[in-house]
Amino acid sequence: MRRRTFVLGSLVLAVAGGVGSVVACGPEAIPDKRRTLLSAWGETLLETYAEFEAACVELDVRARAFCDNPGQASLDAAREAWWSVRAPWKRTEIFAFGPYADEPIRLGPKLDFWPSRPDSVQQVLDGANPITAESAANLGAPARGMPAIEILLWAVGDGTLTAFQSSPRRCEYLVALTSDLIARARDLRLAWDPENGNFLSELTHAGEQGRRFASLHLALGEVVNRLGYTVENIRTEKLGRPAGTANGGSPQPDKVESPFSGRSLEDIRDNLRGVEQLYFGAPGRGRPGLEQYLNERGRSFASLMRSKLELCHAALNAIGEPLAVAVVSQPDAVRAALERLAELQRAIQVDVIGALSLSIGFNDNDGD
Amino acid sequence: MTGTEHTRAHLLERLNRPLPAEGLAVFRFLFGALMLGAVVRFSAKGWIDSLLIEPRYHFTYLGFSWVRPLPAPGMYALFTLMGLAALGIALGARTRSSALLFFLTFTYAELIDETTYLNHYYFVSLVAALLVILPSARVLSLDTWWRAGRSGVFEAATVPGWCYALLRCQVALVYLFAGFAKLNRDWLLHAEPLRTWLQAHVDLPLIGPWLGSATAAYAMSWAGAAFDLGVVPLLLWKRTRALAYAFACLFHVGIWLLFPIGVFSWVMLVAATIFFAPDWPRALRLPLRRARTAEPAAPRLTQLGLLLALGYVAIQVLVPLRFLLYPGNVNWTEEAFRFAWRVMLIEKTGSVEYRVAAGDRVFVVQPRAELTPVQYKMMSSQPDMIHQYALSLAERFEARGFHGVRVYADAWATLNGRHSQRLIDPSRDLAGYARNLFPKPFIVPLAEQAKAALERKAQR
Repeated sequence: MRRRTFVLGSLVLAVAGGVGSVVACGPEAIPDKRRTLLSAWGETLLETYAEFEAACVELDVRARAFCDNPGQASLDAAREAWWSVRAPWKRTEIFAFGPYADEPIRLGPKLDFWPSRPDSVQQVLDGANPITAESAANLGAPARGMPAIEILLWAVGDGTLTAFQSSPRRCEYLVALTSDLIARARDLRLAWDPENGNFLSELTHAGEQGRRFASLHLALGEVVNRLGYTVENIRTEKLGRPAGTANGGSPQPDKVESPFSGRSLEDIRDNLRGVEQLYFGAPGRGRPGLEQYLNERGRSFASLMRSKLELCHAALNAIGEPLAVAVVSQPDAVRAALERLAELQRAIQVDVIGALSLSIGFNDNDGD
Repeated sequence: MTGTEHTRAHLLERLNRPLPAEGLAVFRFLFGALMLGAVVRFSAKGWIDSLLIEPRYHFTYLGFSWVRPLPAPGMYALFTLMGLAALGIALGARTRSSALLFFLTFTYAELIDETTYLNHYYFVSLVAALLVILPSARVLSLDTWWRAGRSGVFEAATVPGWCYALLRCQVALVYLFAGFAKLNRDWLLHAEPLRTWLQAHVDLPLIGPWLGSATAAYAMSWAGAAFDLGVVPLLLWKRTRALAYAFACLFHVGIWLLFPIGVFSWVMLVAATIFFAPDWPRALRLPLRRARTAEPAAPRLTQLGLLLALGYVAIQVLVPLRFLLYPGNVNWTEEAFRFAWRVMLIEKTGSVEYRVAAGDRVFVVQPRAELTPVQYKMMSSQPDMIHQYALSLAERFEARGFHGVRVYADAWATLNGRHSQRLIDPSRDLAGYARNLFPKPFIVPLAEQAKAALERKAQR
């Protein structure tokens, strides 16, 4: 009997050990679909960051051209360039972690601190110290980045051109900021770039020793949860807060994003395009999206996601810019958009995340 | 002597029959050592901070809202004491006091925040409480050594049979209730939630593709239910015991490898040793001291003791069965879900936000802003916690000077692969319901959506 027990025990340990070895063996053995998906998202992100950086360069060129030759046409060109910078940038907002948020680099606020603070910009304008790209790098977040440039290019309204012409310091500040913007955009791209900072490997090589995420499952969970969080952030911060949902119904128009350029809603649309890009991927370019990953697991939310996204866009289109005015004059349209965004948020945070068991906070203290 | 009296006398005789103490002692040692490891692991992972100290809000258990976290140094001291107590249990040093200290410190930590509830934490508390009563340090303990050192005589190396019986009952109830809970449509007919969970492993070398298949999900679901229901009788029967334990190893190690369940597997593997023959450690040829006296020093079970033991077992049976008093699917409502050994039954994801109405003003409150990710994840799909947080919001708004505060929840959840659906009736003012054990009328019943599940199956 004891002999049989010993044999059985050994057999069990051997099988358990075998299973353990298989589970724990090198991740390179077969391509992991999660790694493939994260790599594809990384490629898209790097491409979009490159597009963003190129747009920053173009903004700098146009800002300098405007300062060299101030006029309505050159001002419009600079404004148009600022507008173009926002499109790729807002599509990447899902990746607002890692180099975006981590100290000491923490590039997010340096590039895009909002709600913007005109007072901080005015303080710099009122100062006496020369403003250079180097000194701009030492400014506080509210006085630099895209929102500060927006304030310079738009905040005075019709008097913008005159303001630039009457104050050379304004131009000095503007080009310092656009130079700094290029540098920070480059920093961010390089921080993710596999040839440089390689933060991307924190996702694609999750689970390896010393990595931020203990498994590919958690790395995937991080990005997928951020898809949902991006929509939640639009609802609560970009539309809800200005509409007064958090303070008992009193609108707070000064809380909108990009208030001076009238790009608030387009910023939101670009955020949604970013969500769409990651969810559906670019099958034509061989880049899978989350839908394909779900499909391979017998699940599909393509029609649900597509319809919710379309409804969101339709609801946003029903709101007129500037949003700062619409939150007061079109409360019903804003409320309708909030409801459509809630449905999209739910589709991601409950249906998609539930189907993949990817709720954030999933640690082994969660187990039964 | 009447028939009843005769039966009772016979039962008492059987329960008081002296049995070798080694099995119980090794159980105690393994349990203490495992708990020491668990305490060290919990601390090393930073969970004292992240789960107990850092949260700004704590979800309390009904009737235990007075249990609050200590200041950080106090929490560290608590866990140090807990670790020392676990060591004391393992070594058999001041065993009963150690068990009592461990029970108190562990249960206190467990009661701080309801979102950290785990079935095996509850089990650990129960076993620790039983070790306060049981003479588990008759052998393989410093207590025996110290007492023998003083008197020169070792105690009897036996314990009465009721000690094994009580622990076996406790462990058996865990497995049996876990097994019965699996006899439902999701588990047996749709292989959920295993089917969802196993998808996370489809990329594993060799076994991954199989794990991702419906076959694997069904096989593991049915095998899991059969294991839970069958392992106790198989462990009790001498001829199948070795095989049953071998399966237990395979089962528990398997789920430990595949799912993030912490020390659960190891707790159950230690617990299952109580079904072994009481003298089984002799086969290990441990350097155990034999008693020099045949005098049985172990506490005999009196009629009152028998009554208390039966009362304890009855409570352990009735508490998990209390779900019968509640309407709806317990896996959805989660009324009577805890303390019932409903293990690994649900994959539930939720989202919740609140509308707090005071006069003509309405505030939208995002609980995520205050709660930790783990707290939000747990509370967003559990109606009693959603209610508890609503009551807290009402209290806090009233403290800010608002009157007639009403709190509504916009809560949605998905259960075991179903589409998302409302969990809480958004028209019900949650602040108007007292916190108690009665069924919660604001829970929206689960719509079964069988069609959706079948469609999904067809896609595979």
